[in-house]
Amino acid sequence: MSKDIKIGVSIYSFTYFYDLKLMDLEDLLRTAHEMGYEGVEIVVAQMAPEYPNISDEWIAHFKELLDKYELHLVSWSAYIDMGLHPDRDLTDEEICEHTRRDLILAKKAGADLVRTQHAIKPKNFRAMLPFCKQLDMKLCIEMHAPHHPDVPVWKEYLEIMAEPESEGYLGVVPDFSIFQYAPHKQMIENYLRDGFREDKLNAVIELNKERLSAEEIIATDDFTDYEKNVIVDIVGHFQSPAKLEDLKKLIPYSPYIHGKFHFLDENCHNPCIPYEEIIPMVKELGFKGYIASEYEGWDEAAMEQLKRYVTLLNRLLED
Amino acid sequence: MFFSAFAQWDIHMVVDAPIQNTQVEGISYGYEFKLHYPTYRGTYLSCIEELYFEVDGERVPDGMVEFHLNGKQFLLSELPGLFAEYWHITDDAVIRVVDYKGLEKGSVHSVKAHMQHRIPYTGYEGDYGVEISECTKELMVE
Repeated sequence: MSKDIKIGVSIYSFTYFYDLKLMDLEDLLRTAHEMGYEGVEIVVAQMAPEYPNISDEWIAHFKELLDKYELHLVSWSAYIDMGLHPDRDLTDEEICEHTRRDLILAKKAGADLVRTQHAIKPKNFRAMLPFCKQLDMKLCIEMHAPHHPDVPVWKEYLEIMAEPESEGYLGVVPDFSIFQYAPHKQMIENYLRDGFREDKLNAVIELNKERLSAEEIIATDDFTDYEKNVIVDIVGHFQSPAKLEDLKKLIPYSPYIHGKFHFLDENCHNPCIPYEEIIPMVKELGFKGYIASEYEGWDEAAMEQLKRYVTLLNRLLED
Repeated sequence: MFFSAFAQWDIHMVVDAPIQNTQVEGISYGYEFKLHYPTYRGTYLSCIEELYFEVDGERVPDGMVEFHLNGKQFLLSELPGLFAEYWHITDDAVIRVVDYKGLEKGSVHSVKAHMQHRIPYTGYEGDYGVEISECTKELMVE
């Protein structure tokens, strides 16, 4: 087992149980511990009841629970809620104010990392550096599908992260969704439920892998309007995933990784994100930190799926 | 939205709980039911762009609706300005309808909620993701 890489879980993965009040925060943390996870990420806009005006009392309560279940707080996950006001976007100053608040709250809660979103904008991201240094906190932007390192704004972000003074403070949280090359099982089930004919959908998924354009795929058969819309969606989302080699551009600035997934089969294999290729590359590149599973199924299968994720990562991390 | 995954939360928006008749200082003035915010995280009330209700197929006049959350009573017309009121996903809002007659105990009513809400972290320069959530439930008066 690689000692440099630890396995965490974003407790967002338990959304189904939390949202429907089947489990509370303590239940989720106890379950994460019992499944073998060592660290957790919290999406505070989801699970901090006083958000965004979070009290010291709630943070003390949260820290007690983390201690009780021997969990490290890997990431305090924040939002840039640009559309908060009905008539305008957040200003640059407001973006910085919101980010400062999250950095302070995260520090109090015992995290050393705030995950933010690419809406922060390059100039605001750079402007947070002195405060990150002052608090000894990392501020990391999540790179989520359909982004990859060659997206123009990401080129700017990566340049900022590469500046010597940014080291250890400004970084990236790659989300493995960037490598997803086909619709996941739940999407396929939804397409079929809504009328996409199964034989035609299977053909479309294969043609997408062969990188035919949406127009070219549509021209191969007689599709309904719904099926044509789905084809455009599939090509738009899954035809240009990040390349494995892109990890070389990301891992040097990554203290933390999101292990996004929607489905692992009985053999703990993900049919549309190539974990068996990604994890060895992550190891080879010398990543040190947590990979946190992020199950995005929003259903009760989360329990079994999150256990399978531990099995998958333990297997792939074995020396 | 056509491919929105958020839509799966819509069925939970009108909460499966009995309708209650409501009083102020012992005087009946309407009835109430509960509303759940239908995505995976909470939102600011300022992100609600449209919210209306139908009971037994008839639109409830917006001016007869009170929105109760965080221990406070809001008018529907106040929601767009409430950028500092957060609706947590485990805090159900209470919707009170001013109706002097109230509803008969034990009777069952169809309650429909319609909400258009902005997802504040999607899109830029005013081009935000906007969801339209609808939910109808048959609820009994307790």
